[in-house]
Amino acid sequence: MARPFHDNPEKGVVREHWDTPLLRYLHDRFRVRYRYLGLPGVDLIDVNLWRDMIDEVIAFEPPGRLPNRRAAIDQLRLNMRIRNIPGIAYFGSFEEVVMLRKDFDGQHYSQNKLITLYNLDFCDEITSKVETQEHGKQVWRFEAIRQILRDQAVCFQREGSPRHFIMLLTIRNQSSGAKLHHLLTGPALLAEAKEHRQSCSVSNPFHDNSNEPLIGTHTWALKAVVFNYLLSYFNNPCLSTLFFPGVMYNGTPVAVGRGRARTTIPSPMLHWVVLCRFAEPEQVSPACWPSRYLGRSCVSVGGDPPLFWSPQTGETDGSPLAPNPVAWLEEHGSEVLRGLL
Amino acid sequence: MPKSRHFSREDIGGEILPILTTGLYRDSMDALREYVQNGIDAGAKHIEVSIDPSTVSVTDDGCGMTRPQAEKAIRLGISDKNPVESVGFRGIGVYSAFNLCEKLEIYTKPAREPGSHIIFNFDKIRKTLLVERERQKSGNDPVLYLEKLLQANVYVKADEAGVIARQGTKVLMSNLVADSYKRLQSWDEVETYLQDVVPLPFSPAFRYGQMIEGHFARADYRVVPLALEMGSRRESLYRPYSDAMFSGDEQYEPKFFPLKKGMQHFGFAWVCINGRRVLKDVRMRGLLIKKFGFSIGNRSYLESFFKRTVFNRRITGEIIVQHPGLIPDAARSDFENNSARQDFLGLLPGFITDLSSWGDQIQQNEKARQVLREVTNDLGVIAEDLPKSQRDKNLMLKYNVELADLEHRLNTHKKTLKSQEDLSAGYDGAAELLKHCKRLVHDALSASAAAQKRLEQNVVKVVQAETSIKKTTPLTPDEPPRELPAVLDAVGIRLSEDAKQAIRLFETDYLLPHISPEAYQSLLKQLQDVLEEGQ
Repeated sequence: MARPFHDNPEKGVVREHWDTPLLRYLHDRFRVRYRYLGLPGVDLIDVNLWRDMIDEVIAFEPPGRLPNRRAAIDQLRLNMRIRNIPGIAYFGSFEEVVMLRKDFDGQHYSQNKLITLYNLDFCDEITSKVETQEHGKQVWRFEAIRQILRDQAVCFQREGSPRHFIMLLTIRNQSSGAKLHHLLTGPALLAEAKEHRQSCSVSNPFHDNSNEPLIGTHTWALKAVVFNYLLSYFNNPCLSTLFFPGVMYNGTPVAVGRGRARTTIPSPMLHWVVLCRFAEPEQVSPACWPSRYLGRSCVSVGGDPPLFWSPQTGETDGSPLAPNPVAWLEEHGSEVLRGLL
Repeated sequence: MPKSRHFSREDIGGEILPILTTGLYRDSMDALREYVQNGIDAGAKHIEVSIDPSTVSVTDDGCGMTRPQAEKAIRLGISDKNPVESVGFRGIGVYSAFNLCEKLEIYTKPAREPGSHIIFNFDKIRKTLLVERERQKSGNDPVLYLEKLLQANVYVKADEAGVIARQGTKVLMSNLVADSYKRLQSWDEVETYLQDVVPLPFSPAFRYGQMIEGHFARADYRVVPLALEMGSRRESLYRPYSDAMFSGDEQYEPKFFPLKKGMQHFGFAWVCINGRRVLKDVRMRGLLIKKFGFSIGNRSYLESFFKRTVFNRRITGEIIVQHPGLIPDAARSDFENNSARQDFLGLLPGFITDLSSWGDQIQQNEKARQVLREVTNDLGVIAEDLPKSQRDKNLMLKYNVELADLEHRLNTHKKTLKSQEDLSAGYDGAAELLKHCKRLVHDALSASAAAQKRLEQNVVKVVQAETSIKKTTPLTPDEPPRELPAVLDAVGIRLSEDAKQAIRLFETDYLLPHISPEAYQSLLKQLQDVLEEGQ
């Protein structure tokens, strides 16, 4: 499946009206500077937009299509040099490089300083798999998040003082009923996710054994899955987290199938922002804010205003005011912001 | 048909480009050198080299090129640079990346002027040459001339992206040829190479670095800070000198030697010496000749000028050449053969003589210091024993001989020791103790009553003198070598681990059962002295 383009117009709206105000607020108000790890794309749109706030970039670029699989990574590296962006670009998908600890060029991957800004794009379905260091054992791509949080924890232990980081996470709002059923009935499901499933599946059910892709129709289910797994990855006595409302937008449609069966399908995307704070265990009771997060309204990209509250199945209406990440942070983030104030 | 035919531009085929670049720049790192060199020639105050598997970039903050200069920079074998002021002046260096990358781009901008973007499409040049070769194999006439080839693939345009914000030049070599990149993957290799070709500053880990840089500044010799970035590692590079190269306390302040002959000023040398020992790091032994920071030849260049070649192994430093007539050859292994080179070579024996005298003086001081240390030690042992063994005639006879020997050793170095401010007091103390010990032994050996009375007085004096010498002479005896491999290591003879094991086995199982450890240590010490003197 092709990757959505980074310069998709709706993605641009999310970047401009949701991510940028938040990053700029933290930078201007608390002098936060960013060490960026993510997939900026060849044209480095994010990085260029936030260049004045970024000290270093750790970028990933997977191989492109034949005949020149290196074209994108070569161009990305060249662009980083032309624009004097300090950092390193790895050749390979973020998940593979992080799990295998090296890229296709043989560059070793290690993290020796805390990353303060993740911008991760899981363009394939989150249930697809990737090889690990353990004799090629395969795990979910999403497990890479667990790995980067382990790396973060090691860096935090070394650096000590309270540290904050932001995770921008984009996933494809698509899965099959069978997969969602499997993921939402596992023994590790948290109480909130279980409760959410029970209340939502009545009004917006899916067929438990269907392998047909559910494209953007069951946001509540995907949101519950991602929230459940992120919380299990964030399970660290030194870590507290603030989840921002999920933002839904339409990515660039992708072509699927071959020959006469080839067609394009829409690319509904779900964008998450999570602000995390590492601190010594005695300084924080690990917690996730706000409570009853799954019942809070998502945000959608529109025309005018560019963002609006868009409650999905099982979600209550949003605030009467237009969605604003800075207002959300000020309302819910006092605990997570401790140490910055 | 015309009577004569003159050479024309169509007589230079495209193949001349790979012939020239491959011949001159065999090592992929030579391209780095060429672009760094251009930055230095442009008066850069800071240079940055970044290497990743796709791209190599060299960025400097030098004066940059105006549009007309950028247009001239693409010429092949023509340069406006003055060989007196610049290292590069042959006009080929800009093509040095031909074998390294598919595309070379140079962004350059002088202050307050628009920037230029120079593009060399090496990949297309190579492909065009390949097609031409195939054409010729099929019996076709050659049609690819150098002019046509470069015209199609090398051009200058305005830097529309504004890559250089203020002033300077950025050289970007992209889509690296895989084989070439291999050589650039090793941090250590790139660092060593750049240390050899860039006038880097000294490391903070070298205590005399600032002093030498001060001398550089007074002599109008510029150092250029350079940062190397490779993957996630980014560090400033320094000249490869550090305090760790020298053994123990045997590090002396550097000495500066002006290099002049009549009215001709060739530059200067700075030299550090490692006392009486050879330098631990083999690669750093000897003097390196530098012009504009670029090394000429290697550190063995001057070895043949020394009467005792071991001397070259005890010193490290550089000869900074500033004479405009001394022009490095293309391979930078020597200078071009001209009258300036002849004069320079003629100057070297005198310089080596001055250097050797300085080294000899240091060696004598070191030797004297060591003798004083040993004599003081031995005297201390005797002095401590004398009061209680004065009635043992045999022992007194033995001490009599030993004291005569110590006196002889001390007197041999008297002049040197007395001339050294820090050793003079130690010498006086040792001489005083020696005098009292000698008198005590003498009285102990004579039988008269008067002598007996003097003996009692001398015992007191010896004890006092011994106490005083302990206060005045810092006793820092060398750790005596305990095994042969350690001795060989100390004098710079490298053995394999297997050889060391075999020698140790021989020592412990076959030699030490027949000789006391003290006697063996003494033999090893003598061997070390002989090897150090004789090297």
